[in-house]
Amino acid sequence: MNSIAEEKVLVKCYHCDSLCDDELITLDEKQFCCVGCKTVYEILQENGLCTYYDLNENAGVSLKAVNFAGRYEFLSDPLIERQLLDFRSDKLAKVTFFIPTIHCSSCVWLLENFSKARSGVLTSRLNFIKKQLFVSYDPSRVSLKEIVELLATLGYAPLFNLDSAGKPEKSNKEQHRLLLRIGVTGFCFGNIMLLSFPEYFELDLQNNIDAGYQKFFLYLNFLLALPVFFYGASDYLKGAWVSLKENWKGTTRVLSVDIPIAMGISALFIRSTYETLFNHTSGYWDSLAGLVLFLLVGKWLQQVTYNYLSFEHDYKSYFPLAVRVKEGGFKNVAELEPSEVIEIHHQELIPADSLLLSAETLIDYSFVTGESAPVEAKRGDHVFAGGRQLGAKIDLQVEKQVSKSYLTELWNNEAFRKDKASRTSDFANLFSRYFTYAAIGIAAVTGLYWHFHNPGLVWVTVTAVLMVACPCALTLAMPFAMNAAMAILGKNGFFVKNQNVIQLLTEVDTIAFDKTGTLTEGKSGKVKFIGDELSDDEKSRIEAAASQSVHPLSKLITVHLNRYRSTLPVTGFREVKGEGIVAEVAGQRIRLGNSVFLGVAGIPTESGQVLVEIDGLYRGRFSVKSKFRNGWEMVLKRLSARYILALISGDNNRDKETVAPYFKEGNLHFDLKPQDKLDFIRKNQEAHRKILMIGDGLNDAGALRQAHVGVALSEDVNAFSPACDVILDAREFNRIDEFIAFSRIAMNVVVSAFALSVLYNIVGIGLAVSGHLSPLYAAVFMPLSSMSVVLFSVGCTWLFAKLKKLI
Amino acid sequence: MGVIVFLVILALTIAGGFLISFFWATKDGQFDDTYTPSVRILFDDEKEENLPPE
Repeated sequence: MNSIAEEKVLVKCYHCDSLCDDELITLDEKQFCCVGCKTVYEILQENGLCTYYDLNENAGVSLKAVNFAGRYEFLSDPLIERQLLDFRSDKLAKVTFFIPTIHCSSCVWLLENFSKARSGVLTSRLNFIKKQLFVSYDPSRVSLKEIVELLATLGYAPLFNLDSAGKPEKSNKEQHRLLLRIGVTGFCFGNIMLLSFPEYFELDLQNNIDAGYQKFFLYLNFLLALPVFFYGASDYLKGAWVSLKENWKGTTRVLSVDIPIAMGISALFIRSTYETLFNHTSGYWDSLAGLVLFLLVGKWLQQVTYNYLSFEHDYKSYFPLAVRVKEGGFKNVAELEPSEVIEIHHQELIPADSLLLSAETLIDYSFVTGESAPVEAKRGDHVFAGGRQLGAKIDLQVEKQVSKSYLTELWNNEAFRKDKASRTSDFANLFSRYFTYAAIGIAAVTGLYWHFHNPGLVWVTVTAVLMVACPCALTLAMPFAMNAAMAILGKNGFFVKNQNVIQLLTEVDTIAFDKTGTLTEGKSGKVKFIGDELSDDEKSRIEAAASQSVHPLSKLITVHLNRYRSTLPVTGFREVKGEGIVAEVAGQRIRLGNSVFLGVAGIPTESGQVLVEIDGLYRGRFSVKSKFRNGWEMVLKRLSARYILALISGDNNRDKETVAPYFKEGNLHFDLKPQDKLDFIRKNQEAHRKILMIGDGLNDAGALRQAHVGVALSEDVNAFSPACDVILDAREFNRIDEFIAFSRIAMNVVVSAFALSVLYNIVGIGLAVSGHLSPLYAAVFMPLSSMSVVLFSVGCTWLFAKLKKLI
Repeated sequence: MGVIVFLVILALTIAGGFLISFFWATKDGQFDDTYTPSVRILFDDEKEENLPPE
């Protein structure tokens, strides 16, 4: 629209669709935003892979500021290489890469045709959902490092971390087993239904031909029901047996829901076998097969999770795979032994607790503690794993193995060893206890009654009661309603790990927040200049000086003054660690730092203040405040109506005044170490509080794990989040109260569905007790009750989601 | 009479064949990734002008 008025028309990169603002490269009449994008185009062009651009326009990944020189050096180390490969022979090697940047169909096309771009690559196949690329190549013609570098050049850098090595391919065996069970049961169910039809229309048993058919169908049904009972339902039978044994030994008082199910299934099977073999009358084979099929489908739904998200990351996902050792070559970080000397470069992560051998350095522990200011270390100081090295290369002497480091010790905490699911009282399990006793009680009373009135009916009625009392509808209501709720929440950027979590969410009474990255937006800050307005020229000079420093405050100022970037020469740059910087920019002396450094009196000495001095003259100060997320005040206000709120931050208390109005006195905690956060949660749990923890970083990992529900906030849900129960898209942070409220609605729907199914059970038991439950009645009644409960629970969940405007 | 018995057994055998192929497909991992094949099938064969200049 107004671009006609502007002299410079906005140009978008042919490769990656970003604006070509600071440089413009033209090739073949196509515009590119950076050399990286042009290179990709050239490689694709050379190898005839330009279909990539035909599938999706501007499909590429921006390569601005990507520099991976030397980053994949460790892949040429034979030991490391061997740990990464799935298979290796002289002529064939197979490897699986995890590539987070995969995003569209063009990616699939390019990565699967990628073998054309490099001879020696034999095949490549992609799993889009899991973002995994399976590559097989000829190691005599191309090396692993070359493949990875080519992928990285194309914008698809595979991710390597400590977790990628030596991990056996995680099999989908559980999933397969269940699928096979459903397949077999479904097959038997269909055929049994078909063969039962003649029975529904009442064969004339006086007729010889009909009687012959009837026997044939009956025995065929019996044969078909065998795999249903012994294969399809075996998990329920085993589960019931285990639960019975545990109750017998007294290790638990909870009767698993498997028990009434197994009772019902067994009653159906035994009664039908008896009818078939001894009475030559039809049994309840169709009901049995249908019941088991429904149950299995419900179980399958329960297992559904977000395949592309991972909720189980530990520190290994954050740590590099290999580190350069002093004596040459690379070593797997997990195999580092004390007293080895390693080299760490700028921006690399320190993998193990070590002793600093170099003179001095700055280490950014924000990853570990949440504290944003880097810490200075001198020769002989201890540095801790998880810190990021800023500045020149340093030598470190390893003191402890990675798994015994100060940070990774957190994972040895018992919170990580316990399976979270076992801590909950499963609603259905709780329910089933009364249910089981009631069913057995009614069956016994019925048996006694008929024993005195009509002994012939005892066997018929008792088995009928057990058959009908099988809580099939009950066990289906939960997975179907929860699955619908999961889908609805997932659409809104609130990804729960499994169905159990929705239930846990409803029990929460306290919410603990992390500050940095949770209430505030990552590392960005709001920079404000206090003082007389600076000229553009002065701003350029300050930008030039600040850009020389790696201190976070300098970086924020650099970003803030980005528009004034210049090519002014900077000389005599000097940084006094923790105090400030001084530099000569085009003849003017710029000093930036705290009040002590500049020697200015009367300025508040709180943190986040950078004073500016130009040519010896104090000009004012930059005030850097954390930038809070959109709508954080409103969401805290809404939440505080119902929950106790607490703040547990690893950072210093510079934002205390901002956040104080939303938390009760005494619920604000700063300068906490990761272990302190975990202890805070545990202390509250000991006071019988159910805590929901919202955090984002590795420093929250312990607290997230210990909490009743751990919510990891993530700017990019596909990136790594610490182990947690819920991954929340950071953009949806201000709606978290809606999500928790919806989990309560979903739970209420389940309870209503339970009530409905109990109603059905009462009707069914009425029929059974009076001895009126014929196979035909059962065949109609049992699936009908299950289906209606399922429809009710799913329908209600979606309806309420619609009402709450979640879909 | 005989023909119905024969037909039922034949039907069961055929259905059993499909059951076995379902077993094979599951163990082969065909249900592990249900998304990528849907993208893959839409790709055209290589266009002439895009072939590399030899």
